[in-house]
Amino acid sequence: MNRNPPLVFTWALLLWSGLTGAWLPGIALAVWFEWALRTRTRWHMTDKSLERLVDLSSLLLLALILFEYSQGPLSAGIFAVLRWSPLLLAPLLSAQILSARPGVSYRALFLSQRRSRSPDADRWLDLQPVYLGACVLAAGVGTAVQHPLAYLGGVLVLTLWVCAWQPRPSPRRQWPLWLTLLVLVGALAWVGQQGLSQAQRRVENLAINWLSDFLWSERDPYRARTALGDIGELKLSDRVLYRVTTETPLRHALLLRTAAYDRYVSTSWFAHPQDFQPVPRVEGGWQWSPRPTAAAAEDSTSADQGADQDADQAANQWVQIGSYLPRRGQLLPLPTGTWRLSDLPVDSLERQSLGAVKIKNGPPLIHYQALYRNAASSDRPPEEADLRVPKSEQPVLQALVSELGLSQPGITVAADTSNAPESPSTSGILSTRDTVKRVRDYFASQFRYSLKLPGAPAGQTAIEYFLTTTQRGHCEFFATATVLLLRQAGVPARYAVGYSVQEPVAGAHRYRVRRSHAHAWTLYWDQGQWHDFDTTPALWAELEAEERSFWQPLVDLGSRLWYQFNLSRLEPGQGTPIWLWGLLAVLFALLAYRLRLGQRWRAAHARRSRESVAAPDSPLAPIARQLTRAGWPRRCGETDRQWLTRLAHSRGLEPELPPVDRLLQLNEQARYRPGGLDVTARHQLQVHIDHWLTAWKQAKSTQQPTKR
Amino acid sequence: MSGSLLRAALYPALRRLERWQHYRRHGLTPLGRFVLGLGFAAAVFGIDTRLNQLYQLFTLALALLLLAGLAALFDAWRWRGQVIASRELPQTASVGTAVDYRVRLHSRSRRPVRGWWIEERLPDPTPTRVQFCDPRQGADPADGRFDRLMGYPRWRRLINRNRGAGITESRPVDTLVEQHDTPVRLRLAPQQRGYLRLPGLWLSRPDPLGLVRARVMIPCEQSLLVLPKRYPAPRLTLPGRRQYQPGGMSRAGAVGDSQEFIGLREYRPGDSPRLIHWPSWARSGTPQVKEYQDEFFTRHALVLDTFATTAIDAQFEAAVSVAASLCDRIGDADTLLDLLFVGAEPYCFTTGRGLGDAGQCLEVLACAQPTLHGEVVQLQQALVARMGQLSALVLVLLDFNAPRRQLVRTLLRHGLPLRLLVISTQTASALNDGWTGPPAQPLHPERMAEDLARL
Repeated sequence: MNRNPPLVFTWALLLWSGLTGAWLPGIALAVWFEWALRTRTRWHMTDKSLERLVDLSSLLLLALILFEYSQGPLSAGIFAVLRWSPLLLAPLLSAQILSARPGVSYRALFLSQRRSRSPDADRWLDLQPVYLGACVLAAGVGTAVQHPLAYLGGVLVLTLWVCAWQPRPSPRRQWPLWLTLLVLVGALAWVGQQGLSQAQRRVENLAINWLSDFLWSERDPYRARTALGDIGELKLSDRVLYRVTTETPLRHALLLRTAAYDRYVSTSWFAHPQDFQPVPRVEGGWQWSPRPTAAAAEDSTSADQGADQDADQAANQWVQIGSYLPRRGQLLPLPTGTWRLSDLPVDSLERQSLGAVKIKNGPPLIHYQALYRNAASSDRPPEEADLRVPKSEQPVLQALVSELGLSQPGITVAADTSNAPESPSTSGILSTRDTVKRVRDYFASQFRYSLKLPGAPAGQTAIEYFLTTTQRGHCEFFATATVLLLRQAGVPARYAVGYSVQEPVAGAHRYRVRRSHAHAWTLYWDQGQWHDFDTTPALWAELEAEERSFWQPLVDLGSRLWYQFNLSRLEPGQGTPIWLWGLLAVLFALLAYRLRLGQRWRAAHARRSRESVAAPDSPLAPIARQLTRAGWPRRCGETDRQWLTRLAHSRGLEPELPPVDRLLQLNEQARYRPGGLDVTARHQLQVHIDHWLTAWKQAKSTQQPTKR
Repeated sequence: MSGSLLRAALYPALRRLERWQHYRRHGLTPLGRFVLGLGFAAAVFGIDTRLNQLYQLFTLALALLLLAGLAALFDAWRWRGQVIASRELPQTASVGTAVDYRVRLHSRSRRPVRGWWIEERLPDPTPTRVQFCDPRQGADPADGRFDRLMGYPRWRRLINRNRGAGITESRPVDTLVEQHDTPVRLRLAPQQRGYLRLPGLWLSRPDPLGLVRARVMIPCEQSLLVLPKRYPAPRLTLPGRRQYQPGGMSRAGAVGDSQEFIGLREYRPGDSPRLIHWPSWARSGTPQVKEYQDEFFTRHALVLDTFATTAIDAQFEAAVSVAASLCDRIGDADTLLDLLFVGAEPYCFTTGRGLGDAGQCLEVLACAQPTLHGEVVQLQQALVARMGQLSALVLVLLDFNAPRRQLVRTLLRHGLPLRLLVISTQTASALNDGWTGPPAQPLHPERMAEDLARL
């Protein structure tokens, strides 16, 4: 800016105070800067003191970032710095104003420039516009006032004030044109910010749709694109996504479901309708189903689990799942039959009728507990779509049903729970359990797991090719074929995707779930509940594990340590972590060193090595000592002439440094002329030195009261 | 090869960046730059409109700059062609010495023209594609591998070199009234020798908001010859006897016969008819011819080594400065001095005894260019051809490597006294290591004044 308009810092600081709620520091700073700009009092501040002030501000900034980082994501630390930048920069701006400097030198601002001999290092950075900009930016991240016009209006008024004070030739001061332009600017800015806000929403929606089509298909609660019919090799990354702790050791793989689908169209699965409903909070958790009774749990115990578990325990099994949460939220992986979630500090939780659970606006790391039973009764009961088989798949599936002798239970599909089928079978017809058992045996005896994607020949669907020819494939083949086969046999079935928990880690009942553990399986309806049914050969996880690189354990270790670190810093109720106190202690130790101890240590060191300031035989040694003691030391590699000339032109020292031209001339003659100085010249030099020292002491003594 | 491809790919981006920086420097006022910086920071921190309200600051900054830019454009369009200008430039200038000159402005508009500032418009310093793609141009041995590959430091050096003169200051213009000349004093600080082309002048003033400058170009093309930088140097008195100069004084610098007339004699077969003295033939009745005497005088040569490694070579510029400083300090008033160097072809310019003066010699030196693709042998051949006429030589060399030492050995065989001046940062002992001829005297490019004073 050409010049600072009056009261500009006051306006900017009041805007900052109003929008952040920091009235006390804002008003105090405004009063302070107005006084500093108007007073004639000036402080003597050496380069060294300024460097220490910069160091102090940097340490405060670092401490603030660390503190905010301990409470949340890194972006919070950055915005906190921005929010409090008027406070952080206030000491530096005060130093600039009160020491009558045009700015702060690059040498003081940047550590890398401290010892530089380049003239660029002595350039000034005027902090006044920087401070003004910091106030305006800091006001923008304040949250005290949410009115949409507050910030824009405040900045517009400030702009009007600054523009009005810009120097321009008096005939050019065309007030009507000037005001018209400003009104137009305000209108344009208002329309622009509205448009920007809406454009972001639109772009985000477009991006989400696009990404969900191409990249995150498995996360889409409404659609799952499979790799059926593709050619190549399926390979997913081994990044650890979830860390699971179970109540008891797992005897079988635990399936964590993220979504279920009911309609199969051309190698893709779809869910319908798209009906996410908010889940209420109950007793500090999220609960969408009543607590199951022991009897219900007993009934619902899955036959294929084959476990003789205690009924009450089956009703209240729990699993803890930890994962990073994307800012936009995600689908939660949960065991089938989950009825309550706890320790999940998110703003909203919604559940779809097919079982997908979506969360929004939570902390960056979540570690929640899911209570579940072995089968799901809260998912929507079967409908006509849960028995539908595409016409193209029907011939081969019908032949298979006949070959396996699967019964046709003749189930009645109802739209609500009250009409759901209750009893499995009549005499002469296979029960659902027997049907499921035969299907399991069929896939277990004749099919192999493979990550190769064989494609499908023309005229055959991928499932037909899988069932009749290759009999090899990955989980999507098995799950899809099983769902369609069960449907063909009259058993309502759905396609489920999620993750398989099977890789134990050190510690009690702890498991890690990788991206490559993504899995697909079948849900079937029996006795009024949905049950998991996985026909993929159990060998698949081992095949996946064989593909891992040899350095994967190291990656896992790093991932685990980072997770533990984040858990300690982000988990609510943990208090301030020890590592933060440690870091703060180190920072303050560094600060103490810079401010006091370092100064004393350096003073002692300077006393010890005073000889190095100037050679003991140098005639200028007494002058060098005085200057060094006053905080104007010689820079690395400077000659006597360069040093004294620099100080003579130094802004803070100019009035008090006696002239040195003749002194330097005699000094150079004494040092470099063959034979040195004669007696008269030597005496003359000594007189000049004495005169310089006397003048210096007088100047110091007269300035002393002013500095105080 | 990959480096040149990369540089060719980078060139358009760097050119755009330079244009943008030029606009930011000259097209925006300090307040405009502040608003631009604030808008950029708001765009970075307010990228998510849900997180904070900084996007409002971004739109405000954008709106301010947009409307101010439109107002400035309109203002510039309104005043285009309304003012004409003429400069009163000196004949020559010197590198590093500021030149003050007067510009007369004349308004064609009926309305008084107020509030404008004027500044010199310098030629576009952006390097050409050929300059940028040639890694030798503007190269510095201190550049790291990455800098050499990307070429950005070289780009900056090329811009500084192409700039020709330091960035000029704007000066306020008094109110221009129709049909009246208004004088303004401007200052220019030439940085490069040679012809400095001045395409025109800029009139500028801020828009009503004070953010963007309206700029009106006044075409006024002129050139200024910038002479090389000179340093004080002592007079060099060189040994060496007088040499026979075929053709005498006239042949010394150009063509024609000697003018040292000694008498008439009778015609002998073989004499040129041009030598016949017609009045004497008429008087005596027998053909008479004019007889001239052979001329002998001292003739020195100042030899400039132009075989630099790069087009922008600080050493070469230092050598030109040395030659410029010495061109009137060699020999006495009766001595001829040949300035010799190899450009596109061997070039010789003779001064002294009324043939030419130091001013002309400086003009020649102002336009001397390094010979990037030549060999020192070319200079050797040019010198050997003239050895019979020369009394002594001063060689200003860019290096003292094997080819140049061979050149000096060849010259020494002719028995002429030599003075060797080498632009080098080495000490004299290091420079003359392994050399048995007359010692070469190093001249440090950064201590040129001191080293020349010690000659």
